[in-house]
Amino acid sequence: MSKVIEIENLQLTYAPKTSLQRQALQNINLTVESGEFRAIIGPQGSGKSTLLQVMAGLELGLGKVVVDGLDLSQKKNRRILWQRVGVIFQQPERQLFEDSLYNDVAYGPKNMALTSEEIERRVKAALKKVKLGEEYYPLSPFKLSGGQQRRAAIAGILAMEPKILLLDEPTAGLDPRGRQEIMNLFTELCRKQGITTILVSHDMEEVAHRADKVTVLHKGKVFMEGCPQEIFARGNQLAEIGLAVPFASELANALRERGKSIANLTTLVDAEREVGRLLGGRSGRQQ
Amino acid sequence: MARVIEYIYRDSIIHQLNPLSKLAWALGVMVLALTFNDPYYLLALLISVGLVGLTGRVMKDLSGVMKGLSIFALILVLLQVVFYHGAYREAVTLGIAMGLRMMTVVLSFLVFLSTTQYKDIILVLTEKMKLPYDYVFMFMTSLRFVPTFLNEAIQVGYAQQVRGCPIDSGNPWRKMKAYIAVALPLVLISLKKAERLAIAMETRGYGSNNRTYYKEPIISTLDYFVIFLVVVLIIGAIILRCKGLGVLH
Ligand SMILES: Nc1ncnc2c1ncn2[C@@H]1O[C@H](COP(=O)(O)OP(=O)(O)OP(=O)(O)O)[C@@H](O)[C@H]1O
Ligand SMILES: [Mg+2]
Repeated sequence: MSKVIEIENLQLTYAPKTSLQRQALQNINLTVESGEFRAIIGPQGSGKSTLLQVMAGLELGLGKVVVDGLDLSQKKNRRILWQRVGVIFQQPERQLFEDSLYNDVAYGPKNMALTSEEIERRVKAALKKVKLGEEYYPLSPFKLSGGQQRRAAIAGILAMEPKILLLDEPTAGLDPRGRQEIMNLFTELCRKQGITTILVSHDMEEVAHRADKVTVLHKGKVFMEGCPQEIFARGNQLAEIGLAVPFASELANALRERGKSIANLTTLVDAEREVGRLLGGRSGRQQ
Repeated sequence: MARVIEYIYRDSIIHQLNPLSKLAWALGVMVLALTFNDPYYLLALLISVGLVGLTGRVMKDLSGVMKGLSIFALILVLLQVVFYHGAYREAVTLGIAMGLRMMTVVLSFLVFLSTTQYKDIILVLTEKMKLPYDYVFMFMTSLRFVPTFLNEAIQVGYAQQVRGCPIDSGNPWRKMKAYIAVALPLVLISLKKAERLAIAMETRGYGSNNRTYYKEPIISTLDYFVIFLVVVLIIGAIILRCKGLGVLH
């Protein structure tokens, strides 16, 4: 597989040389393969959003950042990046600016010089995917509820059909079913269409179920990196920086501390199987 | 940038002074700067303001602004030289005086604002100077929101940039259109924010009763001394001026 995102020795300081100076990222090395589903987790203020903004070409740090073959230290590359990279910001209302929902979703495609039929097709398809019906089309995006705004923002990005998706807590503010639906949507895009996906999330179950690989940030540095099983097996270290692990991992870690030999777990299905094995071949679910 | 008028937390005598005496000082500096037009007198005044800033340990943070101001002052001098009808020497002196005057006044207010917290300014203006609280609060709050507003503008710009609207594209017409596109959601966001602020304030009892204050700004001996000094300096300046010193004709 080829590398889609390559970051070497990235450094980023906000408001340098003032009293508000703040080193948001330091010494970051990161590679993401094409078609990968990568999760980025970390405590509040650890630099996750900043890292996404660097990948989106919005913030410029020191060091090498190459996205889809474009070296982002060059302005002309940062300027064309938007056609390939879709970004969902942490605050959805910040993403909406047109006078109606329909126009807002159409904003990106219009800038891509598509035919008007193609624009209409994409806008309707995107709004359907996020389950916003036609009755919402003429509404001002600012009149939508928080969860609807989130969906609208997502539709605005999907309509551009990007190759890479950068998602900053895209399900925050959605109800449980909405979370499931939206995450299923992203997973499908990644698995079926090979869209490289970077997900920032505080929801460890979400991360455990969806991600191929997890990067843990802490105080602007990469604290750990690996597949979910490896990462969540180190619950003590994660707890030190204020992070929790999924329920199944916690169970596995606790059993291991009591001397049971058990595999690294992240999902409930795995947990059921392993616990069943520990109980001596019996199925985990009994009458 | 917006950062200029923000309070900078440091531990210094200047920070501990009562806002009233700092305000008196800034106003006094302004009076002095307007009294004289001899560049040497103004330079001395500017240096004294700089020393106060150094004592308040905020000069490093203000250095960026000062650089900008110096360039502005230089342009003032050049303008004087180009447009002044009279001797060349006179024009230069006058230009320098104007530049120094502007820098002195601006710097003194920057030192005042960066060493004094908004809430203390509000407190002094309402309690000591008896201005109506609502108006003072409104004014200070809108000042406070300037940096937030700029930040918001950057974020909206980002949101448009990732959907293909580069604000920094060369064509001025496109640039204009892009700025207008930023302005609209910005106004909407601000209105929403104002509404939220009003609700948040009301739920916490704003305007429901007489206000009391947790912190009473103390007027220390040092404050009396500062105010005394300012008064003496102003009287001294007026006497000097009447004797014709510090003024070029
Ligand atoms: N525009 C900015 N100017 C100055 N400092 C900033 C700015 N944006 C972020 N920071 C600082 O950089 C650090 C990293 O912020 P960032 O938003 O990347 O954190 P995060 O990991 O996304 O946190 P959260 O989980 O709360 O979203 C924080 O300490 C923050 O205060
Ligand atoms: Mg964030």
